[in-house]
Amino acid sequence: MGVILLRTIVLYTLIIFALRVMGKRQIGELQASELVVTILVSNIATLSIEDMNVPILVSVLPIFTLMACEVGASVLTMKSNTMRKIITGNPCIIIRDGMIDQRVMSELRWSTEDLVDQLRIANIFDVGEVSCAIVETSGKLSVFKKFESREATAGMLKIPIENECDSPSMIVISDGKFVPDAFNFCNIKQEWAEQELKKQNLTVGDVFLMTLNRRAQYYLCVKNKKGGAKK
Amino acid sequence: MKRVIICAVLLAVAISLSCYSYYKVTEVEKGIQERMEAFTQPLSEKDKETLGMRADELESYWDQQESRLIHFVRHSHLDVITTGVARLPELARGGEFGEFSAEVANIKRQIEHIIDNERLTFTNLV
Repeated sequence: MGVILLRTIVLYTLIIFALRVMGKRQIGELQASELVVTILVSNIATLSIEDMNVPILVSVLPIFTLMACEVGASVLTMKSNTMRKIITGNPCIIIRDGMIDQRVMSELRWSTEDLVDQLRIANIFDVGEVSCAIVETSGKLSVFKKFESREATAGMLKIPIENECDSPSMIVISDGKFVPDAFNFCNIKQEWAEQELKKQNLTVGDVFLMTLNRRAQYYLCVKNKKGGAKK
Repeated sequence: MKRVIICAVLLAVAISLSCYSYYKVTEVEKGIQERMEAFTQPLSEKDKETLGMRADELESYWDQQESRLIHFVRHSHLDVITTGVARLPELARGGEFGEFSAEVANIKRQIEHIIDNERLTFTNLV
């Protein structure tokens, strides 16, 4: 058992090291340590399921160990900058002041196609629109557009702000049941919703989904594909 | 913080289980060795009855211990010992002393192999 424990720790460290060496291309959206845990846990879990000769503890023990390693690694990355650099790496600025940093690109082993591909995923079809782009430790590309390419905001256009317009819609009826917390958030009473439903000859049991915001605007979807209504 | 505590507890459980499994296997090995040493005299005297009785004692001891070892030792490793131990009483009563000694050596080897697997050695790690 002790051997399994140590083997798990050794493998964990080795796979993190291997993924860190392989770089961000292999990681995708997960952090290196998260990916290691995902791969190992799924494989270890199948050991005692597939082979009845293997006691269940042989799978449980390494999973406990991996879990502890993962939480330990996350605590270390939270507390120490050095450990954060070692375990998760640093974000890399790939476009700075509109200029592509070719040194960073070759370090990351990104081709021009990779860069353009990632920009398209970020909904940018012209590299010229980008002021700054950062490859995050998860491998995702974050983009900051040049001023002239940014979407106009209400603040830029000096549009007067209406009351409660920042309020998001909340689910107030889900599959025929009220969600009381959502009514509290919207500062609207449940009785108001009941009256609105009554006007449409509906009861709460007939509603599949109802969302509501603080301005009492709601979206209603009736059960059994009877159709939706918006107000 | 809660997660850290849970993980620390689970890690402590995992380490304790590892230590316990090693302790248990070593204890069982000692028990088997002691019972096997008791075979020496009746074997040299070719005393079938005593040898048969002592083989029975070993079998009942193994049956008790196997149910505990099964939680952390591969079942196929234990099966080899179970089969060997089950053969011993009949081999002794049938007077097949050569075969009996070979089976005893085989069981010893298997239990040593199980302990070797549990040991924290560099060879086991690589």
